[in-house]
Amino acid sequence: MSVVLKVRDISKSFGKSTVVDHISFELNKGEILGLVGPNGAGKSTIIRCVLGIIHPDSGSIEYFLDRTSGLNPSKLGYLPEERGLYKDARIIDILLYIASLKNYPLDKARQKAEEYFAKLDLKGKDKAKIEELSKGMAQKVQFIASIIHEPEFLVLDEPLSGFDPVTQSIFIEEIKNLAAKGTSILLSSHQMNMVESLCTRIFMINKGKRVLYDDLDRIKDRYGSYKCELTGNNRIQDLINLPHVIRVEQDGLKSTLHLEPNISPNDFIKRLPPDLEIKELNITRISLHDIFVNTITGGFSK
Amino acid sequence: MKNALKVAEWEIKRNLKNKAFIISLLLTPFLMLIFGLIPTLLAKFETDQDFTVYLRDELGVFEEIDLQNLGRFNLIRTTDEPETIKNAIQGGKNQAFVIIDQESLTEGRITVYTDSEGQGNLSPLNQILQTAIKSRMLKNFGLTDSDIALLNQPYQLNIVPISTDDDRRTIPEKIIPAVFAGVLFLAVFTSGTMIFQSALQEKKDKMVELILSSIKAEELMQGKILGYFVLGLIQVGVWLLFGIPAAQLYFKIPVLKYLLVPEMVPMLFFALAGYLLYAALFVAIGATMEDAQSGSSFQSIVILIPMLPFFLIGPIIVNPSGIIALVGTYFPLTTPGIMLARLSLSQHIALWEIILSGAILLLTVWIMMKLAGKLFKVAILMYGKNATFKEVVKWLRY
Repeated sequence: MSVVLKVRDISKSFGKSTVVDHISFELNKGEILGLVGPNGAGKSTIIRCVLGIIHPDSGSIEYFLDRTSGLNPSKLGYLPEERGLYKDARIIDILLYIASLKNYPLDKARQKAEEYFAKLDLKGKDKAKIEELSKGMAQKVQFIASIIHEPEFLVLDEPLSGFDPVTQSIFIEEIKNLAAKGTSILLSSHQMNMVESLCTRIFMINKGKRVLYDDLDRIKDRYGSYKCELTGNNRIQDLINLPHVIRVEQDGLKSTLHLEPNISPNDFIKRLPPDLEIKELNITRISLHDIFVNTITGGFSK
Repeated sequence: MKNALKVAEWEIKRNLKNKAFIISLLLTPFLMLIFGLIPTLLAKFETDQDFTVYLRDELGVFEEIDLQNLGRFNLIRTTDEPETIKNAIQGGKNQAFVIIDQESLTEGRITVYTDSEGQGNLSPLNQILQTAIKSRMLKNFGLTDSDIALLNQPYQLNIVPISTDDDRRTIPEKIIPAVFAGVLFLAVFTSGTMIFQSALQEKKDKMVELILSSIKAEELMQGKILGYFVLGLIQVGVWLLFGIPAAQLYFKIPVLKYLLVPEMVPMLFFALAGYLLYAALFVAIGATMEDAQSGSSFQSIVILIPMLPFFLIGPIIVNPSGIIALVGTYFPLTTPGIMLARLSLSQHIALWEIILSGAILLLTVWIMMKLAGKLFKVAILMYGKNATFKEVVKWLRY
């Protein structure tokens, strides 16, 4: 697999605070890499750095787009988290303006726009102004604006926020399509279920530093792969003392037991004491959401 | 540069498609015309009304009144009793009653009784009656008619400076370049304001990040400055398109002839440099603000900078080469406005003055562009609040 983006040891400070602290990662062709982390972790700064909007204080960013190693903005697409478009301009004019800034042929852009309008239920709206559209429609237009020039490298920052479930699934399909056609995507989001369904690899940061960077599967293997949801009247101390349990959350009769890494459900069930009250029992593989929360709050270190 | 041109083209097209821009573009000259003409028209309407004055002449001054030059006054000699006349004119309009008798002479007062409304401007009547009374008295002293005419002749100060032929210029020759300078400055000012709005809007519409992932911040700024320069030209063009024929028709003045004078070259230079200066200032300040309503005092002060010449314009009209004019000329933030005013008002501005002030201005423009570029780049990406003066200083140091 060929690498399209190589970020090596970049740091960025604003005044006295270091926002990005020695970060390195790579993005492969046709891959969707999830960039996750809590608010203020430095995701936006990393994104702005790889897009060339700001420059890191140290470290290097190499691009392998269009057979050149420099940054070629024409091959780059970006859907910022801060959503907006010129409110008083016609949709088609905005899309063509952006295509022209990306040096994309305008007749092709017009044709692409038509295709997406049809696909995203915006047909006949090309001459409407953004201020005349609903919020969801405006976001669709913005999504089109970020991909109309067929970028090789696409950065999506919270791409699905504000969409209804139907539109969300349309966009998830569209993002998968783009990756399948060879677009390399850096996806930043707090919606862990979406990250889980789209990304093959995860880069997690906290306070500007890397905390996780691996294949999603391997991450799941590494971090206590299972959790057990138990309904029944049990004391929390008894649950914590159960074999293989590292952490318990209790809410009334419902308890969530986080299991030690590499413990199979069989091993866990075999050693459950007979006096445990079980009304319901669910054992599931730990989700990215849990890994995220545990990693950031330090829940993995017992 | 290619990207800056694309931005410029976009800004131009976008504004030309914007109804508000078109309306203000077309309406401004009409508004100026209306505000300029209505007071004169109204005054004219008012003074054009005939005014009847009944004169009870007990001294025999009526013969001395120059009946040819009464203007709108219609003088009627009467011998009726004062009370009768007063009653007669009471309910009427534009009527007055004057008694001239021995008492007027001793008291030095002429009493005019008018109707209850619409007295208008009666001072010309004062002039007419005074001249008549004085002539009567002079005649009583035994002076001849020609002596009296000589004594009544008014004197005017006729000032002719010896060293220049400046004041031999006719009034239109002086006024037209000044009006043109005003139009240029107005265009510079409105374009500056528009570029400020545009930087602000860019931030408000949250397009900045998308644009800056395609082109550099400098290119965006340059494109905006260039775009609004062209829009400014379009404005001046449209205004002149209306203004020149209107002036030609209304005042019967060959406007173009008076515009194509050598002073126009430095005037255009100062207008252009002024635009670049204020545009750089405005685009950077616009980028530091979140919305137009909540600017800090620091930002409001910056926005007022182009207004500075207006505070100095009074003394400069009185004396285009005075000390205030000199200070305004070499202080770069006022140079464009002041030089436009001076060049249009006076013909004896030394070439070295033009060159020196122009050089200082160009240097300032260059520095301002650099600073604006720096500030714009950082500020345009900051969301959520207006920048403080401290932050602006910090960003300039990045």
